[in-house]
Amino acid sequence: MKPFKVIKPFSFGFLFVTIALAFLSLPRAAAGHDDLHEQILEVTKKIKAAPRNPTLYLKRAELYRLHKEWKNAERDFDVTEKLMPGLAAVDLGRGKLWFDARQFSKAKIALEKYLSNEPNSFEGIITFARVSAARRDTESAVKFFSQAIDLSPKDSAEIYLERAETLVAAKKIDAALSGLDDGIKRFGLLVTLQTAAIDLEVKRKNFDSALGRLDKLAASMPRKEPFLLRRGEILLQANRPCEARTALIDSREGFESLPPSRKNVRVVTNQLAQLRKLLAQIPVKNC
Amino acid sequence: MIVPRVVSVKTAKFVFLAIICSVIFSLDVAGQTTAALTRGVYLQMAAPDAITLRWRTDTATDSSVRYGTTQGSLTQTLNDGTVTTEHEVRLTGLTPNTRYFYSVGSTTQAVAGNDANHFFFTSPNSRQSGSYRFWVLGDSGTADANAQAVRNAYLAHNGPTYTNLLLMLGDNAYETGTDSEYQAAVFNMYPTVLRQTPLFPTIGNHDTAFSTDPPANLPYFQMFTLPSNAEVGGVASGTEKYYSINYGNVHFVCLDSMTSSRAVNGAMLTWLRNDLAQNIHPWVIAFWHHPPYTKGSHNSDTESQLGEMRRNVLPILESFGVDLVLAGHSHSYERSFLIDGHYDVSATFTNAMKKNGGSGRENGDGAYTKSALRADLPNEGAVYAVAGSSGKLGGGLLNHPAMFISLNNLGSMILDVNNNRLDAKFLRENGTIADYFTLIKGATTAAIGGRILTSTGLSVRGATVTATGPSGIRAVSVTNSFGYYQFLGLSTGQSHTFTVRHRRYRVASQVIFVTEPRSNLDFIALE
Repeated sequence: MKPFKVIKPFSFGFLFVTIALAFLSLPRAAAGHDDLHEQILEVTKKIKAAPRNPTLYLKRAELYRLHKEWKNAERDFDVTEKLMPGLAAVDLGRGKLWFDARQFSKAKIALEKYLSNEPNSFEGIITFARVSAARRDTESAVKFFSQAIDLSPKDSAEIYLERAETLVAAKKIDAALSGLDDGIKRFGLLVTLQTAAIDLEVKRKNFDSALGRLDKLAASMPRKEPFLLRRGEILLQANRPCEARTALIDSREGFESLPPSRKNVRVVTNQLAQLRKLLAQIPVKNC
Repeated sequence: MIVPRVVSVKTAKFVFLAIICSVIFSLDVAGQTTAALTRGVYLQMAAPDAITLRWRTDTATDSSVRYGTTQGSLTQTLNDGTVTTEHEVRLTGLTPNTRYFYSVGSTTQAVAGNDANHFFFTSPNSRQSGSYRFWVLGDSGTADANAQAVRNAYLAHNGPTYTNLLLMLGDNAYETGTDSEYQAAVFNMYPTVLRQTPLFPTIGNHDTAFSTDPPANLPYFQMFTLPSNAEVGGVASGTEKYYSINYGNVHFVCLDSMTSSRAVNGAMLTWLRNDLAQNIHPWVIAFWHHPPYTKGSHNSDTESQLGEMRRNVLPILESFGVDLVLAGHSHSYERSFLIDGHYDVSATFTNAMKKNGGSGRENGDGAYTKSALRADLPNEGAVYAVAGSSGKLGGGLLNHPAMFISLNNLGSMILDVNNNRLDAKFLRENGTIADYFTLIKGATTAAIGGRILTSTGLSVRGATVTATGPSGIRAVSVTNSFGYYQFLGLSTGQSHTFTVRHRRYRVASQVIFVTEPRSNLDFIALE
């Protein structure tokens, strides 16, 4: 490797490099993550004042990771480890770093090390689950998503969805549905979970179950017409055109009873267009 | 306290012994030491019939709330036997729109309340019009003289008016949203407001220490009790990160621009579409941290979270008729015209996107208007405000073309919603109003009419139709030869009961929530 050319202070070269660096750094700071950039500068100042403080390097490493400066983050994690060997947070930070940088094998190693010391860390477990999902290690992903759900009692509806998505990617639709049902048992009839479950029921051609779920969801909502439209779609896929037609007509009546202002909502006009398209597919004489 | 002027030695000894004994007795019987309040009281998840009270004590005790509608007469009690320093009690079975006084503590000791300062009003009934004041703080978490000045300006401006809700737009506690930072920036900064006014916050980047995947034990999630299961109206989101609530005739939507997926088919936006599709409240106000339009200390043209919220969320909100969107993040005040359909970078903003390019001021270009007092006025325009200067200033170019005004001033926003009218102000830290605008939806009255027919289609003449409003005010109309009746000016934003009397026919009453003119409120008369 060639040694760097030393640039003397106050030379033209120094001035050029300084101006170029300043120029390059400006749009970057303005291009986003301004807060992060400011934070990095602030922590860097503190590091200059206390260059052997591992907490500061750890903090800056995290900031670099969030700023997507992978190499700088890696370097700061290394310094942190040197200053404080055995600090578990370094392994978690590295795990998250490699996950964000899409280097999943490295992430797995770091997180395995971290979880061997901190087996109940929510952050460690959820990151490991996502790393496993990215590596298509479904069994491990599901195991760790489930652990994350157990550790996050107040706020885990979205983790149920992540777990289901992992299972669907592995073509384990039944298991995905069963997992969503666990969530529905826990949170009640959440529209996010139940909508995902309906889509899966349709995917596995279990149309009656899909319709049953849809009816439950519709019963909990004051406005029925969007759900009747979905009912029509499902019945058509189930090759039950006459029932589909009835549902679609009911849906159309619901939409038509809305005041003009409501009917003109973009979502509703799209739904009405879809409804007309589906109705046109069903010959009246067959019903 | 009344002190006797002359006390004998014997009496003094007796009083002293009695005090000692009572202290020993109370400690012994309760098995608990005395506790001191270290946080709160603060109010969460206010609904028409329920509210959550939270507070923290220095030592663990059980929890007890005494409450009642008369100061000094707290006749009802709710206890929770869990011994804790983090107290959380949800009162239920309350009367809507009613003032309750309260005290909190343990079953053996009150630590706060039972005075004129500890009270709350329950929320009004769903869809009920009234005069509501909402205070909006953005990026207020500095815990310094700036935040104090903004707070003091509000308290001085507000006077004795009740603040119905406090909204916090994120970055509520700098730098990283730790428990102690929250203590300084929120609980020690706004104690008098928090013990009377329910707080609904959203998550900012500093509240998660910049993490987009914060742990479950994040202080924000620990200290706030937020609706995840439609406890305060709306559709259940299943998470405290984003939620909706109803307050009178206002539907508030709180989104999470920091840690949840902002994807069009992600869980948050799936929930949002369903929530708005079901909403029947005429005002829709949305709030989150990262602004869709800003040229302050952040730039909505270049930052991913801001751009995604603009591109993915605004089309949904606008198609469901959102009226006002509030955000922080940029440490400035920027307020738009009444606009619609601007989802790309600022250079693509055109005058055609201005539904009203005026000031929105009644004493200027006139108030912004929408056609009716309804929830579902698609794409009639919304006002977007960045109000992230309640704690610090960040400068910036402040030249976003969607903005009517952009200021590098400290301050907070005040929203007054009264029936079909929303008045918004930006109150500076020095007490001056630096911006204001009004949004009016439809008229304050509407003509309502219809026809009374028999089941065979014959007109019913001479029937007396009475419309009774919520305050008991009545209007009367008599059907003409063709069975028609009409009321010319019924108040909008209220439920009216329509009863019909006729010497020969019986007619079932109808209760209608009046939002706009109607000529088809028909009745069937039965013999």
